[in-house]
Amino acid sequence: MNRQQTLMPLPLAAEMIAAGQVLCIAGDEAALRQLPRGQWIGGTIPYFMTGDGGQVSRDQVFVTPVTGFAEPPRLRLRDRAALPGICRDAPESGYSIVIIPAFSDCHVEFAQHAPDYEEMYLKPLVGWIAGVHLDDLAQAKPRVVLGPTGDFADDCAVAMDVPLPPERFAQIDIVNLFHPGHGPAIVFPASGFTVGACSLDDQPGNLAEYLASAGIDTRLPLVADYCGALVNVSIKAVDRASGRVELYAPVFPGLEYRIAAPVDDYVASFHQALPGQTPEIAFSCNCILNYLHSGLHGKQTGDLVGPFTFGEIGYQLPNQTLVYLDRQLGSQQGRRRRPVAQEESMHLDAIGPGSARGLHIGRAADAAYGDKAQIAGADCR
Amino acid sequence: MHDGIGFGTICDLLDLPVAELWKFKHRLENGKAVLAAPPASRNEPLPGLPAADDPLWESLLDGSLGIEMHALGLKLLLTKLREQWAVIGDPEVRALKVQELRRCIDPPRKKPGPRTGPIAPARHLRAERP
Repeated sequence: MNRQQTLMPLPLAAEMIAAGQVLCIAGDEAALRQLPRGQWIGGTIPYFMTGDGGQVSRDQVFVTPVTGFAEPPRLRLRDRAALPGICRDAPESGYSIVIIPAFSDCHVEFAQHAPDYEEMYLKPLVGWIAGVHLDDLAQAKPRVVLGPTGDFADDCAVAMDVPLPPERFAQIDIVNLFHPGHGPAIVFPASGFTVGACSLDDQPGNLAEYLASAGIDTRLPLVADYCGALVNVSIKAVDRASGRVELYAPVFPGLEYRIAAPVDDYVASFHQALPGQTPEIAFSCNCILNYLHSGLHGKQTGDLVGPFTFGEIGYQLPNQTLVYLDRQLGSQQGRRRRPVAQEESMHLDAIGPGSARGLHIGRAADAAYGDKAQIAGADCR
Repeated sequence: MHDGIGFGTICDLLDLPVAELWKFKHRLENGKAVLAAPPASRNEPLPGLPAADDPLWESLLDGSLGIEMHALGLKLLLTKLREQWAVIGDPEVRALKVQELRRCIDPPRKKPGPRTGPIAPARHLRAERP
């Protein structure tokens, strides 16, 4: 159960900061500016999923305490040039939280290049894209905050590196209620936030034309299958006249996308997609498009609480997805140095004969991994 | 990089800017550059893993051998490596990709630290060629 992360009044958050707690804080900029300096990082957003359901608040902040670390977390701003080193500089054992202002150069840089960052996927990286109240889009800028200095930035990311003790490891997962629909396979020739030309079931086509002519509900994202992980790219705007479609995250060439199948009941589907037992949620966030399209205002999302954001970071940048990080207990003897190995820890330990030989895969993980240790024989693409 | 040495260490040793090395790696991974000679350490065994020249790795990377995974990071990494594999023709760069996959499955345990203990008893499950 997650009882620590919660929406709270400013005085209580200020008390926690003053007590020296390490915190990750989401809130409206005016609220964040009233908080004292201390060991926290923050980002602007006034939308929250709370234990009482989805809420909008400009005068409360959502506080995620960071606990259980082996050494004091390292907090710092990273400009666009320093962003590619974020995983390289992360602790060998632990995780990192990053917050990036929406529409900034850092946002574009991370969205397009994060998969190529050194050590990406080898060290857990979670976080979110800071935003603003939708009524303020024209005049307000999303910002991040470095608590120790009180600096607000709209052109830098803020990051917290959290080293964990040997007996604990962090694991990232996502909740995505969308699945690929039965429409054509869409492949793009290049990476980008704005697309047009594409192939549709191997035939030359244009995405804007296809979406308009087929009457596609553009609340449905494009979905790509990453070896079993379904990753969404949400549609921001369609201009049929120019043949251009704007997206909230870039598509990548070579990947096959499909428009998601319609979801009849967003809330019910959301609850069905939530994980069962999650031992210790250290962080979670959800997409503001899920809040809007799924009608989550006042609706509960179980133990997974946090900000509704302008983008979620689970290693890279999926859209319309809930991202969470849990910390699990594992024996030191079975632990490896790197989180992917900690998560999956496959150990190829026996090779059978012949061309159709089997690949025995053993996990160098202990019983703490529970049913997540299941690896079965199936093609992943 | 074959041996799991990070960008920062390589740049320190060679007095190179990280950005330049990163650009070079990006070109290699997109099939736009090639390497001249294989490092001798490529086939250095990692305990419990097939050798780097075992065709098993190529099968995993070209997608002819599939496995079902549950770790998000490994799913995303294998997808990236498969995309790169499809456009890389240079055998030496392909060898780098094999090494990257091997490292993530069983990372090098050369550096001292608390996580260098023995491999725990493993569950042995089976993944078949599709």
